[in-house]
Amino acid sequence: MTAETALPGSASATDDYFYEIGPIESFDIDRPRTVEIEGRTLVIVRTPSGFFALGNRCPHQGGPICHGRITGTMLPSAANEYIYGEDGQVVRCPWHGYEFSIRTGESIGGAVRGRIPVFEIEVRDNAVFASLRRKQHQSKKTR
Amino acid sequence: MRVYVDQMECTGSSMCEMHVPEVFSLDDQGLATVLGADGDMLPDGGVAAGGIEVRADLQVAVRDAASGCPGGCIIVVDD
Repeated sequence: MTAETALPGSASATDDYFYEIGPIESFDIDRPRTVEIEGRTLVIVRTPSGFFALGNRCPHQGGPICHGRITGTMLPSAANEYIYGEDGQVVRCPWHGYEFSIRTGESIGGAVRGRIPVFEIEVRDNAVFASLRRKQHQSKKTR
Repeated sequence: MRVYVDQMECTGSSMCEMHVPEVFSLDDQGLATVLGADGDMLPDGGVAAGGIEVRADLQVAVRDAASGCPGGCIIVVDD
């Protein structure tokens, strides 16, 4: 894991809330990496399907998400049937093994109340830009 | 003593609401905020208002909620 201080990136045409955090190649696939933006730590996850920016604390007991493993999870299935899915779309907290969607931050299966903060992130040309704006959440309360 | 919530870090675990419902609640985004004197939820976690004044009999509970918050987002400001 590395921690870097991001400099304000060149603003997009629509807003200036994004910070350039490095070239695409500086992020390894499925290996979370932290960046610092305005004193806050974001966990950047690069997957084959894109980039994701998360907060660094697990909703359960505050475990360091940056040390979590990018994985999949067991999908709902019939008795005695085990189906693995969502590979590369889930982060597993290193402290107690709770799993969360890297797209929404929500707990897989609703096992944990709350969610990991998810922030806006974009790729422009060959560079990655992250924002401190949280993605809007749909449901009123998570559980 | 004043308290507010840094919603950028809030995980919405609702531990604060369960611990001190007189002070904390979850807003329509599932993020914690503080309650004003009239019981209404303050926008933006109460940051713009500089937080709310905490009653003397709730100060220990609020400190406990802050120390136990998974997101570390409850900000206590001593007078």
